[in-house]
Amino acid sequence: MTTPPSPAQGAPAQDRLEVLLGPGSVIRFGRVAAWAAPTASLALLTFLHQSVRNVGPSARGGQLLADHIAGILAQRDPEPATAFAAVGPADGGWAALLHGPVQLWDGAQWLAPSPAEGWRSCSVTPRPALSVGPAGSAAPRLLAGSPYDLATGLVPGGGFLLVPAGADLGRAAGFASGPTGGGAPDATRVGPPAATGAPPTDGTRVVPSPGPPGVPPSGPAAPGDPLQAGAPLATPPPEAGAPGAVDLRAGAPGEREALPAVNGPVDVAGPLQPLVPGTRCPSGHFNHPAVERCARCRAELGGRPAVNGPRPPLGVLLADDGTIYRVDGDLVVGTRPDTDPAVAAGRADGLCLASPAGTLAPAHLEIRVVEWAVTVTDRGSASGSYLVRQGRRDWDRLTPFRPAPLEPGSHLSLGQRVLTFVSPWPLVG
Amino acid sequence: MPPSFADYRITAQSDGAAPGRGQVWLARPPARLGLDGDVALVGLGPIDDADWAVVTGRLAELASVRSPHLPALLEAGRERQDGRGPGWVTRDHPQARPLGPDAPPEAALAAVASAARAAHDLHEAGWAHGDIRGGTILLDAGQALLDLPLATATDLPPTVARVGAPEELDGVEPDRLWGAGPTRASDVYALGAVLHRHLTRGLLHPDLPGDPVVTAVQRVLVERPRVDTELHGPAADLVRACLDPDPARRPPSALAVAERLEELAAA
Repeated sequence: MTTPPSPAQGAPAQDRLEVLLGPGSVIRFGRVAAWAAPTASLALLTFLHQSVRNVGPSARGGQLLADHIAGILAQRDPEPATAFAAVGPADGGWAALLHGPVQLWDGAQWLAPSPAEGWRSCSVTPRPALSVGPAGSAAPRLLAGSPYDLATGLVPGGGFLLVPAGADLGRAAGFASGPTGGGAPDATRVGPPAATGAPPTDGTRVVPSPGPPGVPPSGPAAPGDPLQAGAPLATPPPEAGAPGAVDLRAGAPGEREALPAVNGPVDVAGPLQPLVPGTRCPSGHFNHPAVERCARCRAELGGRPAVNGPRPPLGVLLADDGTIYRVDGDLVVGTRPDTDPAVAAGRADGLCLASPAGTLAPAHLEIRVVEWAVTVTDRGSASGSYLVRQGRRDWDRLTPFRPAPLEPGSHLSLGQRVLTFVSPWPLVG
Repeated sequence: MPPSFADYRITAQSDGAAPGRGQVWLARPPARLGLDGDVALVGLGPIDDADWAVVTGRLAELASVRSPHLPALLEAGRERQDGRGPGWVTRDHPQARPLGPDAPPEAALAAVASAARAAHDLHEAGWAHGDIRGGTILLDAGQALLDLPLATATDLPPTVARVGAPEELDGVEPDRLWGAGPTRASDVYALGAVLHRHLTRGLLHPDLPGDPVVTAVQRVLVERPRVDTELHGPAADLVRACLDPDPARRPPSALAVAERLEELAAA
């Protein structure tokens, strides 16, 4: 019997991660890996990238990440139709989080999200390897001596094959072997899984494409599929006199659940915030690693251990009209930020400002957030963007397309509008 | 000249406008809706196609929250489909007026209790209000209501607040000014602040009115709220509990606040 390789055996990390051809993104840091379908928003991809990077060095990084994502999904699922997965070491084994139309082959069985929930957090045992890819893909070939190995980073890819350190490749019946020289197999094959010559050995069923409730499965639409047949939408036609108006009187209950209790979770991070290094106060509030007192309860943080936690909001932008905007992700600011490709693709939020003077560009500047750092970049606007830092009096014109740190207390001037950045964190640039 | 909104006929400008939330109009609804009497029409900013789909979905969800302490949403629309015209939404209780700062304490207690029950109904349906203050507690023919959290449904990206005057920050929980989203706890904090305002006629941050908004934000972030030392007894205890810096030590729900207020009113 093959002894599953355990990541807790203390050997240096020598896992091999082979990126499979196909659309999507593959991420690896340390012993933690993730794959996301090409439909993933930039916010989701950034979340996965930063989180994998932060938990990658941990001996139980897979469990940390799976638990964190499961906690988010238990509250709300921002992208229920997007396939993604994360895999990494846990106590005595491996942990995986599978979401949307994705599947994992462990050499003996296919694992997929629960059809009811649309996601699944589980333990996995590589026999002797495992692969991750979109639902409907086949198990890849396991090539002894393959030179393909993503050591670290984020690259395009349609899935991955993870071969743990010390895996006995002679016992890889679950992965069709083949001659070298063919490169990585194509992970985007459409059709039933398996074709591996190794039917499930423990009675586990082969799971079909498990798209979340309400999401049509991938692949060609079946005859009669309303999406394919162009069936009319259920929405009634607009009434004369109010084109496009929506009658709200009947309401439409969504899937919201009651809010957490007043004494509920102490984290104030929004959904899909990445795990970042920081410090927790005795009450559990998560802080920037450099602060000496908790930003929320003022408790002393000296000597508290560094931990990874979901990033809290990085502050607010206070506009000159009294509107206060949260900063917890990338923003494009202008009169029509919705026309910006990053906003249209869901990779950034649009912050729409009126421009009484007509000097504000549709996408005038962008604010980017990476871990705890916030930068501002002028998008080459005709009237320019100006920054005055806290404690300074002069406005500095931003060099177009060159990011500048946005420090707490800084004022931004763009198109005769002013935004002030207020943040509890001492160094956010 | 009042603006035009679809086939509604604007009859007057309401003085019940919530600052920063768009103008509120009294409007005669079209016959196609089969309604008797006027409605309140709230103007929204321009909303593009992608955002409109999100906004109408949220409004429909919000409309499904059933509470006798909330107005009912009726219809939403846009003046132009290209994202450049204003959006609008209509609700009932067109004659409702905000709870004024000079309301008698007894009336204020009852109104805040009703608002707390509305907040609880929202919380149980998955919504935080995020903007509870005197201006959003509405009085209509002896009935007290909490105005709907339209900002939560229609602001993309979500805003923390829209501050018309610095003193409107008096009931904003400091966590929210660091960027945290609204919660049960922040709504309970706001209920404590509005209660303090109407029982004492004073602010928790008395220096706010003279501040620029930037300074006001910083003040709320660094100053502890100051409960009027003249406020004594169970009402003061409730206010202090709602404002506790540790959310876990606040009343466990808005419903608990409502029930305590109703006990105080009965006493």
